[in-house]
Amino acid sequence: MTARAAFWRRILVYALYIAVCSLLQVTLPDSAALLGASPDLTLVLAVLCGYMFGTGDGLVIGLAAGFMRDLLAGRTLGLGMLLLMYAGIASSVLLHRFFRRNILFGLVLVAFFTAAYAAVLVLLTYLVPPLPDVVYPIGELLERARQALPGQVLANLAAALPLIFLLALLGPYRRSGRGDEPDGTIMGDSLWRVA
Amino acid sequence: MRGIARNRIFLLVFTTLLLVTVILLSSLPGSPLHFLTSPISAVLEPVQKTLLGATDKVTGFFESLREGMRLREENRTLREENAELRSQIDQLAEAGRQYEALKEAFALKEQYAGYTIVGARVLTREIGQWFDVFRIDIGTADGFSVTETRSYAVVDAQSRLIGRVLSTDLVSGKVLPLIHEGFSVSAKVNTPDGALMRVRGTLDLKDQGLCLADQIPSGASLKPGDILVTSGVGGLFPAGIPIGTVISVRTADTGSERQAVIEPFAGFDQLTTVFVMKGETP
Repeated sequence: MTARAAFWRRILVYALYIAVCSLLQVTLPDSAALLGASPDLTLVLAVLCGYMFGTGDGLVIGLAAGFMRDLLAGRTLGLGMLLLMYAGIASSVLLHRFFRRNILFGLVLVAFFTAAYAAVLVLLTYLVPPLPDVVYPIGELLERARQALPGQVLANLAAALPLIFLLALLGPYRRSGRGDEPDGTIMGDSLWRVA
Repeated sequence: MRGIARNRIFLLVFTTLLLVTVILLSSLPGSPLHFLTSPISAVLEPVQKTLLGATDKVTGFFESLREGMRLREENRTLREENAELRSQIDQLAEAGRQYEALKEAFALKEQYAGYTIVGARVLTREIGQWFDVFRIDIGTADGFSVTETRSYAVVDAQSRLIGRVLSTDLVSGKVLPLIHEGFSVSAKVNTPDGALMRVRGTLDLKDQGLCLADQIPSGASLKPGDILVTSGVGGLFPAGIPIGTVISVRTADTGSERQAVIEPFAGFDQLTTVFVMKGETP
């Protein structure tokens, strides 16, 4: 496969994943909820792309998935892009070098970023009240987030497991190599470097 | 190597600042930034409608299986009820004629005379906190354009308040629901001298499909069972749109001010079609 063909393959595959994940996320019926929470597919996609394919991919996929999130359900434009971009970058930069890539730690990352994402939203709601004269106590916001978190983590993990395999086997790279590694470099246990 | 790292950090800082600017600008009502989404909305709209149709069919298939078993039992019961209902039909027909006469008498049809009501399909549902508005398939191409001073009330088929249009692009609009914590509307008790108050969404009541009335005048009478309607103050919503019923009155945690928990008339779980009210004068 030429470099040009590989590039277009990446673009097309990523575009497909982003479109499917974001559209499914806003269309799934309530019956798909797990413990009251539906999977946050765009967050899971950004985290996994950063973890499996590197910082550049995490950044770009985070931005693109965040844009779709803003477009489909956001109160403003840009917030979803900002949050998912950092999720994509952080999942690659902070953790993959320590944990090395394997499915289990991919799932740990998804759980970690689900919690981190919830914490950021709590902080945002506290700092930017939805109505000027209505301020929610931080304790109340944290308690609400704590109650919702187990269901959200479970739902996201349930979505992450098939998505990991899909990205590995039907992903943007022919042999699921990562964008920030030179050809032939094999890191970690190379779980998804399937020939 | 250091240069590459510096470039990456610069890129990250630049992107962050750019996105923060976009967030601030797009949060302004009527921001032209919302038109950036128009091309993608135009592409996505038919895809979403197809996906919605497919989801409906799959959901409908499984529901029909469950329903089939129930229907057999219900059929037997219904045959018995059928005979009884036939006798009631004549009475109801007469009641219907009386209702039409009363409706005309109270001029319900003319209540929103200055407004055009346009139907819209709900395209998406909310996906969590801060991403909790829903999209409908009307936008500026249909003549709906949100500005700092203009928005549109969104109601259900029975003209009960659902929310308001938050922003629009060329082919779609976003609706802020009544139970959303960022929503507020001036309301009054539906009596001739009903007290004015504010109805707004709150984080704790949203999950239960409820909202809150506050800023209640100290001497005002308010009790469970009272019906609240829009007051028309502010000009965004026409007066008289039914909002909901008071289910309890309590004292606010922060002081002596009274608050009331409101159960909206409109249901938010299975919304598929809504109606947008457009004033004839801009």
